[in-house]
Amino acid sequence: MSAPIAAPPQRSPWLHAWRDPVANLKAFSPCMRLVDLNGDGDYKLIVADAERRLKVYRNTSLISENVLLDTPVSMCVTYTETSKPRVPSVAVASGPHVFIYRRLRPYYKFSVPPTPLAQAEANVWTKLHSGAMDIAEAVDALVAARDGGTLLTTRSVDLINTEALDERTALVDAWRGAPLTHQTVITCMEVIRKNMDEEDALSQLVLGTEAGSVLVLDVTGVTIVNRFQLPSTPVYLAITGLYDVEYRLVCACRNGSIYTIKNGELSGTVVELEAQPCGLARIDKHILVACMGAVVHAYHIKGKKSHSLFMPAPVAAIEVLSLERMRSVKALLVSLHNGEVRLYVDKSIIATIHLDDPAVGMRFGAYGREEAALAMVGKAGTLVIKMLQRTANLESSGAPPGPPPEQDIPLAIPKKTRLYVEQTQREREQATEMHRIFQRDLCKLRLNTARAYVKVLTDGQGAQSYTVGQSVRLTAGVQGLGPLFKLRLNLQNLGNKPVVDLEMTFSANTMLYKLHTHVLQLPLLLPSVTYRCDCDVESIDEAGASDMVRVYVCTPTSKVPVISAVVTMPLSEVIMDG
Amino acid sequence: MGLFSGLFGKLGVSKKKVKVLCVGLDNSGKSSIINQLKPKKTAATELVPTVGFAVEEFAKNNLNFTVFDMSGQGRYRSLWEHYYKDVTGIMFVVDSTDKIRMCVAKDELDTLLAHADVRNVPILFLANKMDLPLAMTPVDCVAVMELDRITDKPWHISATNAMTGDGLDEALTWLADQMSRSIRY
Repeated sequence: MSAPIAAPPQRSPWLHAWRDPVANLKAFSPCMRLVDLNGDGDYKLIVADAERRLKVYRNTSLISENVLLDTPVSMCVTYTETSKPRVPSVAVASGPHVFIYRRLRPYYKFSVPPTPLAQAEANVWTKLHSGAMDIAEAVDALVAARDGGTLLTTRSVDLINTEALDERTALVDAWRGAPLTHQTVITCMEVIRKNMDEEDALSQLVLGTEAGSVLVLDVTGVTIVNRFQLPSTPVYLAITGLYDVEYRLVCACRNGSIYTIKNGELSGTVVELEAQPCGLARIDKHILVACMGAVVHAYHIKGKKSHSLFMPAPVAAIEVLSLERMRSVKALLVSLHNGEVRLYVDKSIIATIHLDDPAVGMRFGAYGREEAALAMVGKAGTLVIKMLQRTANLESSGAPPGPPPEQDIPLAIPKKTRLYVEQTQREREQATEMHRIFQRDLCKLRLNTARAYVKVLTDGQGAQSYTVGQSVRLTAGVQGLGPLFKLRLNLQNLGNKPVVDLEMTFSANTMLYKLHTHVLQLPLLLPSVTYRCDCDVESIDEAGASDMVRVYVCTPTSKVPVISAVVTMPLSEVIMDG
Repeated sequence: MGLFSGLFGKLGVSKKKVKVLCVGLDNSGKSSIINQLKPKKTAATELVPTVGFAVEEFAKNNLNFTVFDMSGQGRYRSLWEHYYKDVTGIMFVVDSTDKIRMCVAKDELDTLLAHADVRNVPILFLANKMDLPLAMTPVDCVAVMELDRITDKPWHISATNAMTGDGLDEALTWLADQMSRSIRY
């Protein structure tokens, strides 16, 4: 017999480079980038912190910290010029603006143009300010417009959500005279390369807005070159291809659907998810989307579902591990809320990192002079950097999930012996007989069981007992004519071991008899010695009626009495008065 | 000339030849160190990242060194193992300012030490770039790379500066001493 061969414990492909538990970063994946900031081959980590700071890490230290004007939503790195050295621009999206920094200095600001106003809403506000409509009517009209599908301005939303009349009046007065605009905000931002598939090739920004539009800017980030309208607000973008050649924008939206824009057209393929998306990635022909139900679904770009990866905890972030220079590997990194960071190649898990602080932001790329580094920002602000071993085996174990190879190895079954053959022959010929014997034995077994059961029920009811390993005999007699009687009880231990801890109790009808003792603590009963105990019983009934007195001998370990006896009392003589 | 060299060879005066492998991560200063060791007139003025490997020869400490200057770039690191077999000494250069990649250097060293072809040769660790402000001391390098685990080979660590040559002579003297011992027997 061959035992299944256990796989040797594999070394983790991750090398621990650095951990800063007090980095105090607040950032998710869109606000982290690994970038060659000076074009000198030394990659740095830029983090747009939610505390409005643009932080740059090099090696193991924070080298610069700039103040941001607003809370960042997303940060991207673009190359806007072809000159050498290749110095990128850092684009930080916050609110409706994209702030572009060059060499970490503010350089340019792009603002998303305001959305055209809905006519109904504009009318309401004109009437409200002119006094033709009071506030309650205006709110009703606005609610009706909202329910009718109009996307309201923040001003209208504020008015509807304010409850008190005086506060509403104050709001309306504060806005009097200010023009009504519908300013949307940026929800996500990514970069598409223009015409060369290289890391430092010219690139353009792609913005997703709250109003459900996707905007593609030109290389300089000044004008909008293309605009798409989606049915819902995009929250994650995954981009492949080149803008001038062929491209595909995959947008995960807040309505739980994934839309695809292919070469300037919104494609008809829509993936409808079972839960809200919480992460989006592209690996080759697959769209990988992490959903809130602790699962990562893989869809083919044409919209057909390929497979699902089920996680033990909710997903915090996903990221693609992509190695191109040395070897071509693409894998998926999934960070979970239980602190695990899992590495998947296709459907099989390759490695797991356990972190004290679950990573909510993750970027894989070059850091320092190392090509394969993973930067992670934890929920509590920890910054961890891991590096991938050069010789790490990232091949999926190959074996597709299915029956193990041991299944095909025949078992070592011994040859049929003569004894075995004879036994089978006998079984074949005398089957009836064997069955009858079996049935008879079964009946006997049932009978024995029933007897044992009856014994359990009747134990302790007689004058002699064998329960709980003790065998004690009790004999009882009555002396006297009445009204005073004496119960004489003889106890004898019939076993061969002393018995301890026995108690004797008496029970009688208290209307007829008065017992002088109710409980007797019995001494140690030595084998075959007779012990005598007495109990005085007085008849208190005037007519001298007789009844029974019950005697029980009990142990504290069993609910069933060891022995019991019933003493029938004789009729009592009545005391003659006078 | 041939007569003289043959004569010196017989008398044991001529310098012995040793082969040394120089490894380390990219940008740690391997080529700079070797450049510094070469005679002034043959030294290059400007260095570019080594591609594949380079072979340099120079005389030092009464030995003729043949140094295989391996490229430290990730894609060429797999070439190192082909030279383990026939070298008499190994120089492992560490960039002591590159704290973040100490784990990578340690991993490469572990791979080197675990390789079957690495014989009982002396290993010289050079904690290079000691002049830079954030450089780790050799003691720190020993701790981070867990060099104290190496018990089966003679090893030595020195802080060096490949730009000025500080610390190199002392380090090379140790290596030459170790190698000449092993050659003699």
